Amino acid sequence: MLKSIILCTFLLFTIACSSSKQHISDVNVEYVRASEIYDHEGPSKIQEMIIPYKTEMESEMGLILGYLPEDLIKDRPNSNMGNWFADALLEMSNKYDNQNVDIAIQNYGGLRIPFLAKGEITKGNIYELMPFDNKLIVLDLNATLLQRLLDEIANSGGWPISQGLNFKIDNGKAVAIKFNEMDLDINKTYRVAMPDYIANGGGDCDFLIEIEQKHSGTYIRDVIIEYLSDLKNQNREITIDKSKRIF
Amino acid sequence: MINQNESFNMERRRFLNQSIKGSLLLASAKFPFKAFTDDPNISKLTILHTNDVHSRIEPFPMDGGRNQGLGGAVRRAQMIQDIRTEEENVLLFDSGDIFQGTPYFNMFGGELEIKLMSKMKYDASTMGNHDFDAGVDGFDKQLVHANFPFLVSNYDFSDTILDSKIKKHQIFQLDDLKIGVTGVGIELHSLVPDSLTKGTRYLNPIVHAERQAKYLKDDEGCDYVICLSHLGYEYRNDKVSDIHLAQNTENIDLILGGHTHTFMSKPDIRRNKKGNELIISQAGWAGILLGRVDILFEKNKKNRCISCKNAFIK
Repeated sequence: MLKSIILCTFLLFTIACSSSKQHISDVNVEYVRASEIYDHEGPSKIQEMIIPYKTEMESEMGLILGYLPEDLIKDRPNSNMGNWFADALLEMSNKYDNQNVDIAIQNYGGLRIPFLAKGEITKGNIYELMPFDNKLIVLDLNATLLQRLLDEIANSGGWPISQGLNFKIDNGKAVAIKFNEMDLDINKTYRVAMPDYIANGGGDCDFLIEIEQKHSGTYIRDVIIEYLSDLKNQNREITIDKSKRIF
Repeated sequence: MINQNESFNMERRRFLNQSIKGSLLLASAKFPFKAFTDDPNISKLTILHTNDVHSRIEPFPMDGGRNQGLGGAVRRAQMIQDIRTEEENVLLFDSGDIFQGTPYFNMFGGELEIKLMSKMKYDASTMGNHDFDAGVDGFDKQLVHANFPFLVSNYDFSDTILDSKIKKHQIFQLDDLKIGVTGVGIELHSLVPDSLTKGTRYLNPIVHAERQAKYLKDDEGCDYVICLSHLGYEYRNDKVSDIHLAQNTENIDLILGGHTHTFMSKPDIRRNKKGNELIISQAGWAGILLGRVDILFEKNKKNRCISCKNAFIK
């Protein structure tokens, strides 16, 4: 008896369902911050899954590479993080290329963390800062192409550039460009270090694709790791130039 | 003296946390779900969503940064589990860029990220540009760990290893609700090197998302259509965004977005091509937020809804 009532209800329900329409009656949307107030006591299956990976990761990435004298903060058009990064790329590309590199550039979006705390800096920090498999390469650019690249940088609000290069952003263009306090020389070729991502046309830099690349063959994060170990070996401290480069 | 200050700060922090929790409870209390629970014509659907988690397995370190202590897979899993305990009809989605951002990805290629999503019982995800960072073959390698489908309507993978492994839509039947889900991905040129996309072709996202949405609504009779999007919420230039997607389609009800790492305090309500309202929502990045969309559906034979409000969202 009970069974047949249930069956009836089920049939009625199915028939009703086939001829009826679902209306959206009410909607509520919220964004719940994943903070510690949601933490439960006790071990969890998820934690158990993570532990073996975490242990292996930390033994590899926990290596302390140096001591950061101040917080690095990412910003545009200028920031201490951007200055430090571009200057390190310039120093290292000169190490690889017999002191012939003039300028180093890093696309803003390529730096992946907004903040790096003062204190011990680990290999893992550098992986988070620059996780991509981008290699450091060098391009020879005439003044026209360099202007075009700097226009692109200006148009996107400014990227990290190395010490010695300055310009002003005016209506999405790079103006008043100075390299070592001199105007750009139309007859000169500038040697510019950058991630292969940019040289291969990323970041709307399609105009660089055709230009011959000199590869260091080294991932940018490994370049920075090598830079930090060089400092350590030479008993040099990490220094951060805070000069304003883009106006 | 110093100790007093510290204890004051701790108290203050506790108070702030309490008030965040308090306001959330208040928000859900405003929503009159309880009144309808006995009505057989009313169904409730809870949609949870993340985007751009970027390999953030652990919470941000306590280093004084703006995001310190936030996020983390263990906590997210607990939050999701708590909601599943309270709610009957829960769907959980991600809008891409699962990969890249911590050494977990560099060392293990995304294996842990996908395993954790499977464990949390994600129902579907779309692909972000960074999900190509180990190449289509690197992504393919991790698919064995996924017990949920990847949905992308506008990437043609037919010349790649991912051919027929990425779906264009998925249908979920919950209670008497039929929910259709599709996905849409961003233009890959200038974001991802060709050496990683390996012949993946990008197709018009509006045309292809709408094609799937129309199929889900008209041919499959879905009550509600969701598009998981990695297009990005909004741009200063005319690059195609979720706002374009919303305004130029007719059959999508909810866009769960990503790519631009947008923290929303409330969802964006837009009108589609037919003038009907739809929702765009995005939940920041790195698992700092869990987006939650609760929808009440009223089922009736008349083409009229009794409990429906004229205002879509307060």
